[in-house]
Amino acid sequence: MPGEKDFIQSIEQNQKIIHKVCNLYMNNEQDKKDLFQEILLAAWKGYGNFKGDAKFSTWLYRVALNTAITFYRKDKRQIETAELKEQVTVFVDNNVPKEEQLTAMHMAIAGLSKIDKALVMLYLEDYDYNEIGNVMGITVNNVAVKMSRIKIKLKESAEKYL
Amino acid sequence: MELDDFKQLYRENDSGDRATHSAGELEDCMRSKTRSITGKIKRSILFEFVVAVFFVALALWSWFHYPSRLTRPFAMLTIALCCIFFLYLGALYKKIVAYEKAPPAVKDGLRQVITILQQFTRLYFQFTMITLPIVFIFGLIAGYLEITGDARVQFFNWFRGILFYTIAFILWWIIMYFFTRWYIKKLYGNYLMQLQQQLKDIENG
Repeated sequence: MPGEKDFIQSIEQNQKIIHKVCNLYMNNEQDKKDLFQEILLAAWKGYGNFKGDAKFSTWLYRVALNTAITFYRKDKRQIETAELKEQVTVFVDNNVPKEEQLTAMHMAIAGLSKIDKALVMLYLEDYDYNEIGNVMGITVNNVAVKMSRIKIKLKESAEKYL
Repeated sequence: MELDDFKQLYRENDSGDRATHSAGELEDCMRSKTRSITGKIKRSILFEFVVAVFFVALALWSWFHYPSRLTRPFAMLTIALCCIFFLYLGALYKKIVAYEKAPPAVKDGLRQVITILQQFTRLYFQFTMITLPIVFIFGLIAGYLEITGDARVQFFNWFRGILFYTIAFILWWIIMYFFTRWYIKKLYGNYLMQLQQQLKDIENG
């Protein structure tokens, strides 16, 4: 199929993004695998209209977050009921300094709403507020307000987990 | 620890060499069937499209094979209803394809998925509710033709007959109304509520 080779090559180079989103939103391996597949399919369906106005990675974040946030599950295996401990593997290795604080922060992030998680992920990926606004479809001011609230919320939640 | 301290550590430790899929594995993934909500609705639309085509074919067949007073208007009505149904299904299908081809920003994506889901469930509900009285009226006419054509039935009590039939229909309609609502809610209700909550989350400054 035309463009398939280019698409696969681009995904191969940027698949870390999809893995991060899957890890952020899903707990067990099967769910992560399912979400990975859905994101890949959604990206492939939309790839024909990707004009290169934005970076491929930004476009992929948009697709991945859209898919993860609207991901339909028939059963009740939701993140809220899962063991938050598993989330510790989301971002960084466990052998880093301040392990307990990091664990607490991971658990605090895992407790956020799907929208707040998306904002935190983009923030951690060093996207500026303008880029975050473009991916999320909200204004820069709105991003700033939300980030400020999230930071306070995370600090409080992380303290509770310590 | 604050989010900015965490971010610093995260950036320092983000090696990015975790689980990777080879090109072949990615290709395999691309060949698999989607389980997304839009994919599910698309499959439902295609199924309903096939069912509607079947009913149109059946109506046309009965038109030529049973040229009675009742068959033709019933066939015409069935074809007209199916055509309206086709138009709605087609429009909805087009909307889903447009959404899939141009992934929007998260907020717009949520809005679009909610709209698609609401339109689909509304269409399902309205179509079920509309077909019931049509079937009732045609059933009534068919019953009338059956009775008047039978010389043995001379003392049929029309008032009692119609009253009984109407009450039975109203009861059936009420049951179907609540059952269809319950069924739609069971299928998509909780999911729709989750999406609406997420949209609220993203819209609230």
